[in-house]
Amino acid sequence: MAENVVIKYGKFEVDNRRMQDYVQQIEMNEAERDRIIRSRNNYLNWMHAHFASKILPPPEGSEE
Amino acid sequence: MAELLSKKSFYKDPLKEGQPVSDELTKDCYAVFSCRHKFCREVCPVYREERNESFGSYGLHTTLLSVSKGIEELANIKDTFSHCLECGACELRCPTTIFAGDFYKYTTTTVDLVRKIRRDLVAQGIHYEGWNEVKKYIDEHQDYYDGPETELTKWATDLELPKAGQQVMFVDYYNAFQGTEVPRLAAKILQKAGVPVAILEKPSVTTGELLESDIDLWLKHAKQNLEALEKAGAKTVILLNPHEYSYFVKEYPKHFGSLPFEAVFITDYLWQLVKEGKIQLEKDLDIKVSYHDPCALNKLCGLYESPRKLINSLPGVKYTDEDPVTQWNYCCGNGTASFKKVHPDIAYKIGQRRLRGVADLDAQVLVLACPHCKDQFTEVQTKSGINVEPKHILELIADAMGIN
Amino acid sequence: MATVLKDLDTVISNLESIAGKENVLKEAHHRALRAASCSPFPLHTWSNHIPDVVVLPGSRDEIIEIMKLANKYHIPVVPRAAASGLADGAVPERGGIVLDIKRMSDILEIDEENMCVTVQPGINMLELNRVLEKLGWFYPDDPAAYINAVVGGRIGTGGFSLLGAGFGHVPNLVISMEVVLPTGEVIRVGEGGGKKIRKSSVGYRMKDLFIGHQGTLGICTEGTLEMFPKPEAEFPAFFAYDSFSEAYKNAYELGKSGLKTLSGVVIFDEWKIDYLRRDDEAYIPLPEDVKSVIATICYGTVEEVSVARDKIFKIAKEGGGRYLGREMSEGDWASRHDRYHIPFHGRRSDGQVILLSWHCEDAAVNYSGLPHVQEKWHKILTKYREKYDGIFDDWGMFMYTNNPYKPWGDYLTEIDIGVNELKLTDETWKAWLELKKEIAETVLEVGGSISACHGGTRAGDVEVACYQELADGQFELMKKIKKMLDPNNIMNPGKYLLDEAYREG
Repeated sequence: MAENVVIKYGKFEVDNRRMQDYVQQIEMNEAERDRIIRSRNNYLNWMHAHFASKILPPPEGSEE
Repeated sequence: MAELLSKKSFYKDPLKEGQPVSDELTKDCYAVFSCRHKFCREVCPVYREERNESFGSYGLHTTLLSVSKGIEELANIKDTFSHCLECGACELRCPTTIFAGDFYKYTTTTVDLVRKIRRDLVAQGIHYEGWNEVKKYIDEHQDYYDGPETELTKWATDLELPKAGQQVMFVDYYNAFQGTEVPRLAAKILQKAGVPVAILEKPSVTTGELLESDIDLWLKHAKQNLEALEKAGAKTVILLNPHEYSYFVKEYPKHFGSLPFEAVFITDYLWQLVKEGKIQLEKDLDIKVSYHDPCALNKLCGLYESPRKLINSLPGVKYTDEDPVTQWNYCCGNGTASFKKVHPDIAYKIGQRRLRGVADLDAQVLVLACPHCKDQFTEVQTKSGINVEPKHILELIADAMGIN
Repeated sequence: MATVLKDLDTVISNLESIAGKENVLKEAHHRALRAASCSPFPLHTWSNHIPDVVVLPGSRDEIIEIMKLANKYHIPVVPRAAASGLADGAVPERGGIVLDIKRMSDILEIDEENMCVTVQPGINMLELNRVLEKLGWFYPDDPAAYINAVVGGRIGTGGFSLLGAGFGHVPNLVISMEVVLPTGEVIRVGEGGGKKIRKSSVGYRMKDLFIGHQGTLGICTEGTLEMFPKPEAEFPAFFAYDSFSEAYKNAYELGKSGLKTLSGVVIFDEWKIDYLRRDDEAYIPLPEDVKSVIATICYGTVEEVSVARDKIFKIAKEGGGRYLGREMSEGDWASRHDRYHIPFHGRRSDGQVILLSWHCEDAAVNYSGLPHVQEKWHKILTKYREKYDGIFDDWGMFMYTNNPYKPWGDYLTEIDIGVNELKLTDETWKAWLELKKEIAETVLEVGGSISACHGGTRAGDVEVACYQELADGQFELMKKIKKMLDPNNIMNPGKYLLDEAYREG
């Protein structure tokens, strides 16, 4: 089921029409969303370092 | 703007003993129960000591779900809900928050829920064990508030700080009476940096203890603070206490809309002055340090950069960092409200664990950015004899500036 | 609870003497909270699974006393670790005492010379690794519940690790352990009698009996575990394919590549890709031509992983795989524990967001059986989704390399199902059990096992497990062993239909 994802300010958001009936979105501003995104990125970096000392890049020329 | 708005309007309706839990609140609890992965558990400093899964986001939300389903009575959950530091670790670590909260615009809000439940219970005369200590503290501050205005700024008598201006330092009741060292150092540092910082003649009480006990009174005081700050001409309000900072940035916007001034935490403000060359950090301190992220700054507000930048700018300091994600697990044990008063034994264990960890890092000094952390770690250090000295970052900055 | 236990007050007062009053929990919410594990729970009949009392012991000796007490009064004991298990091992069937082992969470010994670590059962793997990494070691048991699961529960469930193709799964990672038997006796099991011996031919191979028993044969009170050097390098690479069929073929080639640092190969089927498109908030959105994905992960020395990386790219390219880029590969790998079970990813047929609990039906299926299972499972789920819109949702399938130390042979095959526990009724719960039965029987059609790592003890699964999968004599032997070790049927009674052991003869 492909969805229309809303993209605003380079960030993704669910199509608000999907949260009208069963559960509704809460009041949240962009700064709070940014805080969550930053926390997520910090966490992902932490998780890599937790399992290995370094991440290797892909072979040269493989990113188009 | 630093404001972080996250508001569930259905938290406003008070829960009453014997009355059903609303559909929205039930679903809010179910959102946490249904995840079932409980990544919120090991990150909770209280769980770490007690190993009781009834604490932390999953435990608390499922407890309330059991009330909604008629399995438990509202009054019986009072002591479980008192076992929360309100530090923000669980709600941040929650996958629904951190992986999908920005996408769905719905996050887990355990701290708000805990404050709400505690208030709702107190309002019905249902008092958790330890409430008397908390009530005593609230009453003490109320007495100060009702008393002579001059007492509220007694801590600053010799500093000759103006009572109006564009940069106003908000000094809360904890700092005005118990932790006067921090506002005094801040004032001296700012004066030396050439900032004509002012203070309010009459701040109103907006402690965490009051926030989790009586929202109406807290909001009344918060509104008074806003009005007083506006009246004083504030364009920038400098906060010293991370708890108060989190209220200005997260609570005030929930109830009063956008702030009519810029709210800045002291380390952000000082770092800006360092960059502008208005603060000279010159004296060689010759110490080995680590830094403790205050829960209210790191977990509740995502503020963790300026204290590290300041520490790295201090001459003669060998700094061993523990990153902000690792520090989600940490707490000094005080909590952002009344935890230490209600559970002093657990608070001690939490603080002791933290200090022991620092001793293992080859650091003599633990740098703090919160007056409550400073108070708590000093007590824990004295009691435990662990060889780590807690120092507030303003102490180090003042030293490096040659103040006192 | 289903029945009110007599002697309950006596039992509680004895428990308080054994473990301390503060470690015995009687209030309804403390007990209700410990009724569920991680799998879908019948919230509409919550009380049926609420234990009579919860005890948090602090030592092996306390556990021994508790088991003796339970045998004296014939009260069921249900061991509870982190309750991240997905086969209801920790869900009480008959009330009784929930024995919550999480207070016992110390690291007892780190033996760097013999490269093993001895721990108490309540320690979480992430927290264990936080300590081990300071010395350059790590314990590689990496399930989806890594952030929460504890060693004792991993042993009780016989867990699967996402890194199993490289480092083995829980049965391969436990060297020896101490177990309190249902009668209160203590046994040490391992390879022969040496606590830190990995391979012995002395005595019977009994260690495996106490791994994956779902808390029916005893409680682990101490475990000695393998310790690996922390890997120098990690390399995740995700590749897109035009169809599941293409990905499936390429997974085989990757499997027989001979790369020792290849620690996992995961196939995402077309339905899973559609599901992941629901939350393209974190990463670059998956373009429409991405139908299926393979994730590969390597851990090892820099030199070995560099060589493996180049070979993986060669094999993927030859098989039609297109690299999805660093951001997606690295981000998706690091979020492997978190991203897949968000309750808000639930959808009704009208597209509204609904809150669903993630359930993963897992099976162990040989490579050759994967296409049959993949096709049939979605058909089964579609049937139930259409009938019960808003209660069930299809969140797609994963297939993970399942063979310890080898990326070939069989796959942990999972279909993720969203379940609306809040809206369950007797009818929809019954439908749920039928769904599970159909899922399980499909696997037996291709000679698989109905569970790779969760266990076969859930309602809906258990008859298929005991009467079909284990019908070649295993279930009979299980009953004999159970009765021998637990004469009073105290330890997690009702699981695996083992009550039959006490009815026969």
